[in-house]
Amino acid sequence: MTYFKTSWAALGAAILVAACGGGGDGNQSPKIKFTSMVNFGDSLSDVGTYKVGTVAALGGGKYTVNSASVKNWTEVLAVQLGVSAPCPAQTGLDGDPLQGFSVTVTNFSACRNYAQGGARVVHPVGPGNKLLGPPNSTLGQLTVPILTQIANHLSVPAVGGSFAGTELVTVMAGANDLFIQFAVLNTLGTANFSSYAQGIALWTQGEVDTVNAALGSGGANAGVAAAAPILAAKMADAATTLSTLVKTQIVAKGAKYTVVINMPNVSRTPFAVGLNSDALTSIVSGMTLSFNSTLQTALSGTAGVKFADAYTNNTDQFNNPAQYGLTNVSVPACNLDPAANPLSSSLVCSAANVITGDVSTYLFADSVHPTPYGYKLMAQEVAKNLVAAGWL
Amino acid sequence: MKYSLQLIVAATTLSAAMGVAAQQAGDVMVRAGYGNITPHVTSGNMSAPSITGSKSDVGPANSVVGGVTYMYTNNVSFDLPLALPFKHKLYGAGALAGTGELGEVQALPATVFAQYRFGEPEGQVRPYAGLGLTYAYFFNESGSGALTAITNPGGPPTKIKVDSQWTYTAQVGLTVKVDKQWFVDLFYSVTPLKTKTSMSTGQTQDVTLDPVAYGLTLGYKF
Repeated sequence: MTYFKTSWAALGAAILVAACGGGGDGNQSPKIKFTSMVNFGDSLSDVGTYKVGTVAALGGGKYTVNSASVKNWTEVLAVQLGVSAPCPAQTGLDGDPLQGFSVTVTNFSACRNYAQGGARVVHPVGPGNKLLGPPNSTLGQLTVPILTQIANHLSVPAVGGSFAGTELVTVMAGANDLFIQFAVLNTLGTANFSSYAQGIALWTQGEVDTVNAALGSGGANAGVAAAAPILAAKMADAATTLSTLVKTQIVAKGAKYTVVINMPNVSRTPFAVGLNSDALTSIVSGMTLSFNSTLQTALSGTAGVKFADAYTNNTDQFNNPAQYGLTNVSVPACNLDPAANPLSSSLVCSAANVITGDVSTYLFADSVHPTPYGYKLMAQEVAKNLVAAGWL
Repeated sequence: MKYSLQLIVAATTLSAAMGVAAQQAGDVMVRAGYGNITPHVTSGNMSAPSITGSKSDVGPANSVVGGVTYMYTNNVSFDLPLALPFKHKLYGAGALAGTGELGEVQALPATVFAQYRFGEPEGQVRPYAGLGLTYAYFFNESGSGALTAITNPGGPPTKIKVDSQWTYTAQVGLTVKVDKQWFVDLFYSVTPLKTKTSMSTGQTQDVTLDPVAYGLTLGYKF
């Protein structure tokens, strides 16, 4: 009988507990207690490298619809990880001094976001760099490539040449290599073709000859067709190099937690749709897939490296916008008319120069960059992969 | 399960040596022991905004179970099961497969059964079948940091609410006498149950739980 008395008491207590019950917050701390976050990348990860001079004066600085509280995906993720907010490791601009786009380059040794708008994987000249000439030289983005971003991090005295193993490292690049390569098509048949292609696009003489031969025998369309596989191959090269950097300069240098985010679906951006050519859009698509598949294959099975498939997630956003709470996936939220936006870029876009109407759930801020909502979705996809990895 | 079977065998062996007693009209019996609830989950997709195909899964839970039975006639009884709350873990599934534990919910299914007990009141082994009205009460829901990361990264902790539901439960069971007062009860029940989960971030999800429960208790007849 004693057994039952105890048991009844327990049941009575249980009912009391139940009556008082209310929902609460579960354990919110990440599974891995990261000490910091280190970001290598391009404009999608940039938190204000160029927020200086006229860019800052115009209320811009990030590649989105800017505001005092706006966060790109790296900043959203930092909050979720419980690490300090990322700050740009370098600021400055090397553009037209008459327009306020020439600002001394300053390094911030305590900041760990090395991402820069226009950055490529290896080549130091990316979109917006002054060496590309007008109109790029007006803004003069620094476009320090991933290769150098990592080297710069390792050379910071406090970092001491290696990763601590307690930081989350993020790597996202490739799109600027795509833009630089794709621009080769604009030079086909011109005097600039050979020098541009063999210069910053890293083509060989043989590749230039192949395309020239096609142009000579079949005209412009034949030239574009001959260039397409070369462009895809160059993207595969960039991906291979990026994967090597991740393995030899990040993982081999002590990083235990690295997430590599692939390239979103550039072929569905307003930039690619605006080409108004199925043939050209298809080339962009081929280049994107070439980069992403090469990157994924090269990194698969690398210990300490997780892959976030932004491409698939992004493609699904285009196919099922309502599922993501997106109200528009084709029109930029920013008014890119030069009269309203001197750079025609989200870099200087804010509430002051967006289009009319509620753009809070648009996907795009400009022709390629997301709105704050788009960045939140990107952070969500990265977070999902970190959770699945047991890191978050 | 193996452990439970061993208990039954032991109880049955024990009972063979004992005297007879009855489960007859007017008797009141109480019991307590161990029970398990295993949901058989069919999850709907999480509503927008969410990653397409975000589904959930609900893990099994064990708890202390018991109950009170009143013999209305020699064969018809009314039964009120009692239990400590069952603590179920919520997991990501579908597009969220592999994301692990996303939260926790406690369940307290309250049921009143009408039962039919086969055989004579003095029977050594009496199988029974029952049908009951159930209120599946869910409470103390909590979301993990992983849920927040997936639904609203960088935002305030995402809260979960699971709607409590009325439904019915069908059960089959067996009592095995140990002696004049003591007996062992084994039951198995199924409950058709559909509910809705809501998140503080605005998403909802329809989930069919259809829990199956079983338990082994030791009972006492007054």
